[in-house]
Amino acid sequence: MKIQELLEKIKANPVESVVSLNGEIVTEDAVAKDGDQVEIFSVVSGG
Amino acid sequence: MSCNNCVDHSVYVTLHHEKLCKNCFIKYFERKVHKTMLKYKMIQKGEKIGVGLSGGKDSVSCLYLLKKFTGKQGNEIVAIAVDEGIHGYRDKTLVEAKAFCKEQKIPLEITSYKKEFGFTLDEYLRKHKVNPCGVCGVLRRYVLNKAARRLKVDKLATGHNLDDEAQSILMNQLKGNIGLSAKLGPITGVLMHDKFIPRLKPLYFMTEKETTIYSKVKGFHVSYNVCPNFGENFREQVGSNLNQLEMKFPGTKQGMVNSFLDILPELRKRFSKGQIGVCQECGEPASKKLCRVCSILQ
Repeated sequence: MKIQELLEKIKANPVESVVSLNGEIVTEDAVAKDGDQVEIFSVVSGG
Repeated sequence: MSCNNCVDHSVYVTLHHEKLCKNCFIKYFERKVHKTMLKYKMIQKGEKIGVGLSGGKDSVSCLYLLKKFTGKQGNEIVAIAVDEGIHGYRDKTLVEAKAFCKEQKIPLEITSYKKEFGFTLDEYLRKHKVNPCGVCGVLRRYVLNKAARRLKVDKLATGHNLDDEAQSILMNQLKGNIGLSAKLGPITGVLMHDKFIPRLKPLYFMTEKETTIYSKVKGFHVSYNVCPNFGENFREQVGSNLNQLEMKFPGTKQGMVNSFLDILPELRKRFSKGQIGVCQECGEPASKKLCRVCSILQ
């Protein structure tokens, strides 16, 4: 699944999200496969 | 997807659809910050620069780059952290701030609300039903300015980014406080006072997303925690709406800030009348009889 589709699915705004795939920062066109580790970081600091 | 300049995988796509890998993104980010510093003549040779440091991604990136770009011209850099007294939050970010300064060999001055006012923010909020961010922002600017003066710094840099600026512009517009916007810009201030240390925003044109990626690819050990007092306040709502627009119409925030910069000289002319005096209570710069801090504390 594309990271972009994943973000849409969980209703996360890509402008406010940085995604890492298996520990590497990736763009929204990267593809996550079964078994991959995906982390989504919010860029909003608030404080 | 590969970087436009090499074969490595991309970590970021610019507004101009340029795909950048980790190394090319670092170059892009640093070049843009350096250009901002040069364009606005932020730092002169020999000046001592204070940097407001929270331990978060913006202030850490700002501190790192100021040291990098001013190293050759011999500017003295000092980090200033304010401990507001927010249990479970600031104590943790200060650990990151101390570790970063130690690693980078940058002197760090820590001041606090407790030392300055005799109470922590947590203690104040237990007694007063107020908007925490509104009060905290006023107190923090006051404490930072006093610490910067005590350390004899010429200018005080903060990690404010494009998102912060776009939010402030829109908030002032929506609240009918256009005069407050005259105080914004890459170098802040409309009326000068010798007790007020001029503020710089080297990350002025960098988005919050870009700063997050930069701090991550540089491997900075920074805190990504959100302050427990940060809730659904006006700034958060404005920021969230701006980011919805940015998602649908990329470049919205950049366009808004660029338009603002076009009219800023006119705004400053209009709102530069009047004088900054000193607060009758504490002697700090104030536009009324009492500064905002003393008004809050009364």
